[in-house]
Amino acid sequence: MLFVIFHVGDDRYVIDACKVVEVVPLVRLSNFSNTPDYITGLCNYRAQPVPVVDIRYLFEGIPSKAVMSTRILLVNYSSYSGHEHLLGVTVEYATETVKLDVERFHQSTRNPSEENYISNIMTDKHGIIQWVDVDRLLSRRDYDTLYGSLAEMVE
Amino acid sequence: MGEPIDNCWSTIGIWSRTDKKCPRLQEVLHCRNCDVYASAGRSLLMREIPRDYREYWTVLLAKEAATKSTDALSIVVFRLGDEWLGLPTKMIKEVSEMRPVHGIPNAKSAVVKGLVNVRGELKLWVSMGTLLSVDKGENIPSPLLRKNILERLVIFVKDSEQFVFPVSEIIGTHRIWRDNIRDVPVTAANSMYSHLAGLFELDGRHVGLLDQELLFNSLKRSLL
Repeated sequence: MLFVIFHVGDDRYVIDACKVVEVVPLVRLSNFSNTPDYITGLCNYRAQPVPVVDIRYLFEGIPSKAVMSTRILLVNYSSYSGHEHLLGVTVEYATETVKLDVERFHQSTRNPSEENYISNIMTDKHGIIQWVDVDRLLSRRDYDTLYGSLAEMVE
Repeated sequence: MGEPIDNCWSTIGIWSRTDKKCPRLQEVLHCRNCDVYASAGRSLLMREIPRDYREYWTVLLAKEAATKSTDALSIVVFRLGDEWLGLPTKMIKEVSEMRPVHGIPNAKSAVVKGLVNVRGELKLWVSMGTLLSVDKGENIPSPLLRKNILERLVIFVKDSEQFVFPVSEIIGTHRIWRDNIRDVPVTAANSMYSHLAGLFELDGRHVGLLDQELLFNSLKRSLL
């Protein structure tokens, strides 16, 4: 299976490439108030407002560096209610895709709760790779505030 | 910024001018297969984003994606005297260098010039210029070039019948979106225009797309 690989700090993470619609460079984001801190803003993606999550901020509380290799992955986010939305995910060091054998991933031993976005973990010769489940990046509460306010705007 | 890049590829690698060679070359053969080289290249992406980069992409991303037409036609574009013409690539079997033409005694048709030997097969040599009333013209590309150096023979096939015709020049195959092919002006009434299916522009040239059915019918009629 094909994955987009990126780094958060020194650790490597992957996102299922099927979920990725487009990889775009860093763009200017409009401020989106009243949302959790890791939502860095709204990006104007082809005349459509798309909220952007900074994954480094979410994981470590530090914003991603503004370098060429930091990119925004536009992913198809399926919410708990079954709705599909576009979601931007800012990731660092997104320069490659990798083919990984799904069989080699181990189920994460963490308690499977709705906020557990690390679904599976594998190891290779360079260390550990963690699979980020984009559908769980937002908690139910954050999802409601985020897309709820977007829906209001559209209406 | 991180540490300076060690350009081992030009000191001990494939671009080295000395005899000292990297032991990894035995294994990877060329630096571009080596992960040291790859990661050095990728480290260029660790640069800070240039000024205006963010603004540039913001504007670009905000635009609606251009709806790309997927309906394209592959066309071989050639010059016949002063005219630029095109034929669908699938009709062209081969383009070859010029070969001598052998006249046919008592041939009455002005279009048929004779027979040509293409790898042991005799094919009918027709003059597209005569058929379409296009003059050979004086369009010699450059005085430095020998005249006729660009001339080619085009072998084209339809319904398993093959014809060979010479052209002044060929500028390759081009992918043309059907949306960009315009209709032929109705006022244009000479023999060439009546054989066109459409017109399109290519690098500032107006190219006439030949209608294969019309062309073929005219060719067959001219053989009688």
